Amino acid sequence: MEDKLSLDFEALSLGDEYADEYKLTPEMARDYADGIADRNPWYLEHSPFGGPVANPMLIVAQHARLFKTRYTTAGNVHTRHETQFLNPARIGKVIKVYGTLVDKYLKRGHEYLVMECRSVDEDGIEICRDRRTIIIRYAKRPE
Amino acid sequence: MPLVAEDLAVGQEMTPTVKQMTLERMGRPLISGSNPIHYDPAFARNAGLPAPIATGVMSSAFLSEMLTTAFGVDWLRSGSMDVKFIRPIYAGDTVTARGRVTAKNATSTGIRIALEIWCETQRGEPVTVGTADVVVH
Repeated sequence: MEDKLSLDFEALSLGDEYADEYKLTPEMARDYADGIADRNPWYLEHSPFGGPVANPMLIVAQHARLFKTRYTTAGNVHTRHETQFLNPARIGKVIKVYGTLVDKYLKRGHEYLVMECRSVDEDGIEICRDRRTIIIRYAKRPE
Repeated sequence: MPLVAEDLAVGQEMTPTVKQMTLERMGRPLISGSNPIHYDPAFARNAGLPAPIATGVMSSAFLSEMLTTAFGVDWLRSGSMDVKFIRPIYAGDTVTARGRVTAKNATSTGIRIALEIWCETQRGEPVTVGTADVVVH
């Protein structure tokens, strides 16, 4: 079923760009609320913004989908994120996600990648920016 | 009810958020990204881990929940966080998100609050550590 490439540290180039999009549905909002046990009505019913909005971390979590547009990501481990929230994302909107690979390095036998991401809704409203660091496949590479 | 910036003092702690970790929650596709290291015991063992580990952004979500409770709409409009996942979180763990005000400064757009934030488990170990920043209007 999985016919994507494995992430290959050596083959990845700084500056590589990734993009994806998804519709922010009420079902996603409910599933995420149940998953992290945060059932704030802002995310499910109504909010001070005039309708339900996404939990901001739901949007950040979707940045992980960028590498998945090309590669299998099984075994990757997220180690850091630097995130700036700019606007709430309204439920029902299509969210476009963009990312650029900005760094890669070896540390203590692990292969690290750093991607700068941003999410923008279908009306061009920027939702958040994020710089995320991951380890490719947690198992250390051979000496 | 969000906190009032004028009433906040440096050193003040946020009301903690406490969560119980379960494999079912850790493994939901929307949360795990369908990455088996977060829900498959055999896969985790092959990667050198004793058990599946929660995705780090689950703990970030607990921190964000604490900060949303504290700062309301301002957190969603102007919050920022820089966090590192320094130890694994396993199913069965109790995770507590905490925060402490480290600075408070007036700016042209509001009062900027800086915080030290972290999550710890029932073992008393920090598992996620970092900083946050929000402009409160």
